[in-house]
Amino acid sequence: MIILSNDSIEKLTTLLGLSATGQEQDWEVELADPTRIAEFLKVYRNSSLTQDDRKALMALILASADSHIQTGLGVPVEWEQISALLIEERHIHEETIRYWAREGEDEPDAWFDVTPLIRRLVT
Amino acid sequence: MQAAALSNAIGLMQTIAGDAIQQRLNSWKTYAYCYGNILGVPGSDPVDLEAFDKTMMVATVVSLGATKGGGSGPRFGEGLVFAEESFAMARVASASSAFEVQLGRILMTMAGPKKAEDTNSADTSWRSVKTFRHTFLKHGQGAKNTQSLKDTAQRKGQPQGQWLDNEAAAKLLNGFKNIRGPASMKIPEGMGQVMMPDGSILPTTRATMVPQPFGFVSAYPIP
Repeated sequence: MIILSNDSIEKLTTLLGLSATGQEQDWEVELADPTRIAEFLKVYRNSSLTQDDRKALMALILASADSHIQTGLGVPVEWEQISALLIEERHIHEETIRYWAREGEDEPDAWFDVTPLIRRLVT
Repeated sequence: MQAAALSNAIGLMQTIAGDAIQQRLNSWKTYAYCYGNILGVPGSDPVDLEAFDKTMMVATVVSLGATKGGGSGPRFGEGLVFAEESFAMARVASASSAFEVQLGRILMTMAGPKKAEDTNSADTSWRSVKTFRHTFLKHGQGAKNTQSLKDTAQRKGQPQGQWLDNEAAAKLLNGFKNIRGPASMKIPEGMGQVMMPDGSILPTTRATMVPQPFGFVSAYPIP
């Protein structure tokens, strides 16, 4: 399971104006927003973020991309940017990639919508 | 005494709502339920699960039955039409008022918000990530998740919930697929536990559900 830093969650919640209550046990998926992927990426690239912040923000971005596909909006146009960041900073996102890739799981019903894209990335 | 009466009533209703009735009604859509029973409060729109749960704590069942009925109205949302099976009537009393409560199960929604899930079978396996997303991956039964949630609770200083029986939890959650927005609900004893930041593990009878259009983003027990 991916453990995100509380400091990063608080910082990103404020920075991105997310409507978190502070009670979320799964912050990155509960606050995911498929309509804000471009904005999240902009913050990822342009803000002063620690490694923990980047890990938390990428988790939020991937959850948002998954939601984008799941709600019928298709693969987000920003996917190439997301995949480039995942490759470029794989050492930060290894755990996140493994989670979303559903390694060893062959049954598509047990995949996330973004799983095939992630798997293509890591093979 | 009231709690004991409620517990007996729930046990009896669970018996009534057992396999025989469930098999007979499999072709119907289960809309929502709690402890296997839909909760409806005449004159209250919409039903607030939290508030209702509190109300239930002072409920005394005065009669039981298995009458099949139908109805329409805005009880559960805009323009929602539903058919329901009533299992029991309960008299609910507070300091200032008293009214009767229907306990039963919504069998089918015939109008209201269109959702893909409405055409699916009521019971989806807990293994379906498409339906339950992170619910059982992060909060499912098993020693691996227990350890992971304990670590998370201690590192984050925040309680972390775990389901103790994935199948039973999925069965419960399947009845809430059409809720709008995050909600908390009461869950049966023994279904969930919470890892606390101090390393202790506490049993719980509450959970939070975070819905998505086709199921849940996540759902987890809370203190």
